[in-house]
Amino acid sequence: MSDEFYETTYAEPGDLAKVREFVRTRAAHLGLPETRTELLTLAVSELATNTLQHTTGGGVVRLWADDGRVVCDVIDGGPVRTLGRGMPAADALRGRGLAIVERVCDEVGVDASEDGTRVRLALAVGRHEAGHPG
Amino acid sequence: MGHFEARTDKGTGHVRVTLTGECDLAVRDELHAVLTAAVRAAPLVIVDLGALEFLDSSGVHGLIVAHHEAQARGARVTLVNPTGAVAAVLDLTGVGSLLGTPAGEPAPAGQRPDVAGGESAPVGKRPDVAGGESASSRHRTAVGDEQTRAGG
Repeated sequence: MSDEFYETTYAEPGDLAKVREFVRTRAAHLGLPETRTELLTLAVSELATNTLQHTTGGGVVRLWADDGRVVCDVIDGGPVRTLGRGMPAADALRGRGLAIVERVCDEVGVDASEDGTRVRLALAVGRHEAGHPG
Repeated sequence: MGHFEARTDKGTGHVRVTLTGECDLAVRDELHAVLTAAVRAAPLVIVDLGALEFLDSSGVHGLIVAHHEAQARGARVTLVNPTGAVAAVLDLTGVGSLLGTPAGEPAPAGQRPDVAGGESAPVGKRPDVAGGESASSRHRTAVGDEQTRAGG
């Protein structure tokens, strides 16, 4: 199924609302329930925000269905992110974005692809107890 | 989903900031300016999230900056009426507990001015915050759990 996917791009903060609407619409179309769609939308928005804050360019979002999951790649020119840092203290100023992504998605992986640094997210379409890492 | 707006209403001894629409990186400066002005204007800033549709770590950053600014002045920022994905973000980050009135602990008389003004949502009535964290709560999709809504 991964030969069929939806794609959008972003380059500035004003694009973030468009990216969220893209994820909401496409993930719902692929069968992700509304509450899970909102969590995926949040995760993608956090990653795109990260791109815009820490790199000089924009990024690409690709989304598709695979084996009972909705899978989403966020690709940018930033460094490979370090996962597993945990949620900062409630009164900390920074460092929440990636921690939120890791908490709301069933699967999160990072690697260097030929297009750039790729963060791959997945949420199960069905029961939401499926496969949370850690 | 709606365009972000922040409305400030000055009361006696407090300022109420009502946020609507989507709060993200694109409106970071606007949020910061509104909250900074509110913190300077009154010892209690009530941030009403009842009509806010989206909040991410950029928005949380703005709330925490305001919290620190308030603390430095002996003032306080408190969040009321979060729903859906907004409540989920506040819960995940611990900010809902930090800046909400703890469940079961009513705000002192005179300190919750117009929270009851036409709305039935008590401050801090967030069952998923009061319930504490358990291993399974990591999978909770708090979106939709929370039916407390502001009227409008």
